[in-house]
Amino acid sequence: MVDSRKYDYVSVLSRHIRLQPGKKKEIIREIEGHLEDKASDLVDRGVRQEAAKRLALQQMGDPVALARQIQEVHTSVGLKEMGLAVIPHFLIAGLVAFNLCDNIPAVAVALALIGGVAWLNWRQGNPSIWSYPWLGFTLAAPAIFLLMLVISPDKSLPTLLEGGAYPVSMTLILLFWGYVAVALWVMIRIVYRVVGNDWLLVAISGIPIPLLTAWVLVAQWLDPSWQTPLALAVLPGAPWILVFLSIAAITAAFLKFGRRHVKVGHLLISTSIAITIAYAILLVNYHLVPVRLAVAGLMAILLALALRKPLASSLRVLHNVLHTTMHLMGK
Amino acid sequence: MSQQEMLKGNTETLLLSLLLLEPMYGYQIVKEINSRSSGYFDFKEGTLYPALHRMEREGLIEGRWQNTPGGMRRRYYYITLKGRFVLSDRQVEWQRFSRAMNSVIARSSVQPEG
Repeated sequence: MVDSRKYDYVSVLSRHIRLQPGKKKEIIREIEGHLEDKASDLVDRGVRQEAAKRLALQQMGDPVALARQIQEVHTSVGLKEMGLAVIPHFLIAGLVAFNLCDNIPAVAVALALIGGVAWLNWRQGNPSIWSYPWLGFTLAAPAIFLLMLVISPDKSLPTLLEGGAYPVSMTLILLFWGYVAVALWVMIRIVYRVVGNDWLLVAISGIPIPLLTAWVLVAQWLDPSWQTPLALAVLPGAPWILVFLSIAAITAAFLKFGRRHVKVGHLLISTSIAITIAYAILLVNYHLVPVRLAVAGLMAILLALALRKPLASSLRVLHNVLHTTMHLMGK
Repeated sequence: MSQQEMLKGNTETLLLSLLLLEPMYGYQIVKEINSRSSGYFDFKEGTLYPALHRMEREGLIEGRWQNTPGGMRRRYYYITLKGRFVLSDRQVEWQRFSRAMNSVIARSSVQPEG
């Protein structure tokens, strides 16, 4: 017979630990082993089996508190990891600082480096926490490319590469398309997997995306024909460097905070401030519809991810109520 | 300072000292601490695993799944080289601390009233 009390305890524990499935399974197995040992020890000392199982659970304490402590241990990072997490932000800030955003070899090297590090970390299925911002920048490129296709299908990147401000060879265009296709495939797989474990990690990957998106939207608004180089299209670089450095600081603080609710609050408040500042820097037209849509979209994504579980359980309750009502009416 | 507070500040030292003797799994550690301290240390079992996992992340110990003599699969913790160095420092510090404490306490023992 399944021990329902232990099953309930382990279920609560499992629900509140948001780690990769393999790691989580190992932790749960270890705690279960402890509960079994404790109960069996108490039985050997003359305690009745039911009481022994109850005592074992009592001694282990509140499963939610235990899960929170374990979660904090496994998601906390040291100074070295914090440093590694902010490198891609500095790299992009460097590209802006040295006016290299239009320099294809420099951008390609930066993208290859960022993508390479992200890939090395993800290929074994056990990525370090510091690698999530690297992943975010890797995925930002295809996301922005898609956005460009949507907002300006006739004059988007292919046109730009062939005849606009970035005349390059067909080989490079084909390589770029290949990169976008692979990155999109990786993005769908990873986002699907990570959201299931911990939406917060997806959020830190996604912080740069609304800012880069705003940049592209405003550039397109200023010059719909894409004839102006991107870096020049959107005002001077200095404020942008500060924006990327502020995202680096947000990421570092996020990794350092232990409590989950502090992380969530910090992410929502600091990111909103950073985005507002970025849009204020762009200043071109704060009432621009795409800019407003980008802000609304970002907030909707963050909130939907945060409220994913409560929403799902509310829907389940509603479904059960409706089901019971229909059943009673049928009678 | 309560016994729990004192224990909290010295959990790592206690765990490292035990694991220096032999690799152990979670419940074995709780039993061993209880038995060696003659029941003085009322170790909250739920706090053990976050402590062990933190130490493992810091490289002080290393966990390995192995069978117990009874054939159960359990995660045994081994002290690492870094763990040995840290323990050695903590032991020296603890001895200095306890000598200083004793020398102060011994000169001012309080007689219970009544």
